Amino acid sequence: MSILGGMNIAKTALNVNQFALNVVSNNIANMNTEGYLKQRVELAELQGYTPYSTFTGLKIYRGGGVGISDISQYNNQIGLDNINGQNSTLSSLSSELEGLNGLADILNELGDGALSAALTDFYAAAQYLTQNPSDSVLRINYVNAAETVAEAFNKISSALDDTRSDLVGNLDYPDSINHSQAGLLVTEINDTLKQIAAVNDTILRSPNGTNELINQRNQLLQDLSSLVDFDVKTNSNGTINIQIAGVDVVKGSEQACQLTISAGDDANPAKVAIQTFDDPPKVKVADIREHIDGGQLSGVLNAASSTAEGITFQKVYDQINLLAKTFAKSVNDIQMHNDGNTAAMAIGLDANGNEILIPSTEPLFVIPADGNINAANIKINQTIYDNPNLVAAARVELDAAGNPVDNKAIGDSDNLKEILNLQDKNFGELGGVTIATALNNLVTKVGLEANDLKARVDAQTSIVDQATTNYAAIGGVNLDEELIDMIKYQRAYEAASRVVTACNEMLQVLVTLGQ
Amino acid sequence: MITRVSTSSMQSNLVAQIANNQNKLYELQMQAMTGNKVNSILDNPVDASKILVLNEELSKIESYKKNINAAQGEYDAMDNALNIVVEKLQRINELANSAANEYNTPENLQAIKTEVTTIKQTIMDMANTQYNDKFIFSGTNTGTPAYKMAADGTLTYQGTPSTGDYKRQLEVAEGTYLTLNAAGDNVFGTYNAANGTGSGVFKTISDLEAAIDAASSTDATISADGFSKIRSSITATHEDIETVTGVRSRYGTYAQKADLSENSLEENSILLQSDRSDLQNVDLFEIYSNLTYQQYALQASMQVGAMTLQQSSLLNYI
Repeated sequence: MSILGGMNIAKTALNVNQFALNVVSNNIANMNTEGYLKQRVELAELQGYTPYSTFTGLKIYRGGGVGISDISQYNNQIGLDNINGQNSTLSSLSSELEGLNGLADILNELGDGALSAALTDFYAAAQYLTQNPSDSVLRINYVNAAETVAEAFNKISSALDDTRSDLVGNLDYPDSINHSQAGLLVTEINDTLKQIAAVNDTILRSPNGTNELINQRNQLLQDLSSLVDFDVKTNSNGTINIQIAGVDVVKGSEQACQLTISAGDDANPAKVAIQTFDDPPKVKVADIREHIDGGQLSGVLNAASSTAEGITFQKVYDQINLLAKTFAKSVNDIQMHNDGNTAAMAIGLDANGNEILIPSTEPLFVIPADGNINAANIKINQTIYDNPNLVAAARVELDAAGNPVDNKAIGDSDNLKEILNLQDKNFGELGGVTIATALNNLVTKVGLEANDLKARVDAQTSIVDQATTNYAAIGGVNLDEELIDMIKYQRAYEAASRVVTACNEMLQVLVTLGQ
Repeated sequence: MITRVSTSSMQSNLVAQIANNQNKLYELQMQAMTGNKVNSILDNPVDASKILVLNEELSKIESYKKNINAAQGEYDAMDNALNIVVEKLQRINELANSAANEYNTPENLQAIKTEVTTIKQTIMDMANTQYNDKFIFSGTNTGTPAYKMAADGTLTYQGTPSTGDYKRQLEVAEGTYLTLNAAGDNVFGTYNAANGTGSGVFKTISDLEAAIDAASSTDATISADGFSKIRSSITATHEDIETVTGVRSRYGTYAQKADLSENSLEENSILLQSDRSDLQNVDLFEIYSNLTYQQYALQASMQVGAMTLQQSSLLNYI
């Protein structure tokens, strides 16, 4: 037992507290680092080996100072898994909401250039033309109104096209899928998986000092959770396995499978598969869309699919195409009506240059080669546009030879009456409602679903926030706590140095004794 | 229970709170600036859908109102023309009365005949009245004058016949149509000079002309027959006046119906517009009070935030 022993003990205290202050410093330095978990110095008393004999002969040992048993970190894997799971759901909902908001912008029926306004204007122009069916100005007005309807359809169609090719590329150019959102997400997921496998590998090689590596891996998992939902299994050696759609894609230090994306069909324009790295690769899951329900990838794939639940781009696209087809076909049928008894009549000139009725043979909207009019190809017939007299306003009786009984009846507007009846006609193919109602229902559905989704996103956001706060409550850095720790270690350091001074003074007393 | 709060989550909560309040303030600002509470379907899908339906209804009413105005214009034109026709027929009646006097010299009779012929021309002009480029008495053959007079005095009706479905109609309410045109053959009749056949006004006047010619004949028998025919044409003009007045009052009723429809459409339109305004426009008082409240909320969250960030830290005390 020596005075120097006390000094040695004080020395351990100096060292340890200095080190602890470094850890505090590191905590403060990383207080804003994403994914950083507070580190804590675990102190332990060092065992002393110099006995002190009591008068009874019993040897008692005093402690040998202080040492560091561990630098611990509260790594709450369950809490983290919870955050990641909730985060996947949030990402998926958010990207679906983003999609629906985009749809709502495209179907901006309350704004300028709305389709419903174009349709009512068309009927108003038809109504106007009934006032004087042979008036060329009113005819031009009618044709222009029809053109506006076609353009409104075209505008919606091309906006939907743009959005879809942004999501999953253009089916006509299969390579474009790689630069679409879905393609970029798949690349990002593969990169993240690769990095996680690499971190696992490093953890295997360095069993000590893995806190930073685990932080890094947790951050990668959190990144991955916003891309796609997955399950984590912790292995006994500290590495983790990751399952996507029930398939092990990362097994410890090895990335077992990768995601690949390829162009599909109209119903599901992007197919994401999971396959091994073998040559040829073994396909584990052919299309993961139905097997995942979280992350941006799920949101994007669902938005572009027509078989997913709820309103999707593809469903809106189909419905708008159906509306365009129903409208254009009905108008064309009336424009070119001829049932042998009555026929739609346009205006032409007789030999003397007087206006007479001639049979109507030109459709108002161009009929494509395959006969299918849709929102993208609906287009005013240029022949009628150039000669609005070809609009069939009149519908007159035919004689036995199929000629109009009275070809001078240019003031007749019976055919326009039929056009006007379209406004209130219920169509079976639209579910027994009018075109305007079908459009209105579609728009309302998009709005309602977007609002519903927004409420879910808000709720999910607060769940994620709560989970993150709870997680951070245990593992995060609290500045006040660090400052208290700082003072704590600072004081201990000061006290220990006083002990050194005290021992020093005792030594000096000894030295004086010896003189 | 949370025992500790990490500093960075406190800070990010703060940012989220402020952003949330700013969002709400922005929404209210948008409403106050546009005056609309529904600017997009996302604002309120159900109200937006009602607004769309109201827009369609209002557009229909607007069309109906335009149709009524067009119908009223045509009815006015028709009424004016028929009014003149009635006046002229009354004049014909007077002329027939004075021509029936057997002391009239042939010269007097010829003078009367000249006026009758002029009136016939006027009535034909009236029958060929155009409104808005349309010959209104031609049925649906609006591009063709209703009557054509041949050199021999034959008057042919060129419009669509009154028998058969040749109506020009305008929709003035859902499924309700106003008939615009009276077919000229029903009003004015026809006359064939070759065999003296025909009907209506034109036959009466043409017969009167022939009768006056006969009456001024030097042959006593023919002259007596002529005077007798002049007398019978007095009755005929009375009947014609009744026919034309009948047509006139029928279309007068239509015009009244149009006026009534216009009034009810106007009322309907005001109702629908007020409905739409209730759905779409903001209550400014409400907006201003909400706006003020939201401004306070934002200020409060910023103040609390600044306090937490700046003052409530141990750093200030050590």
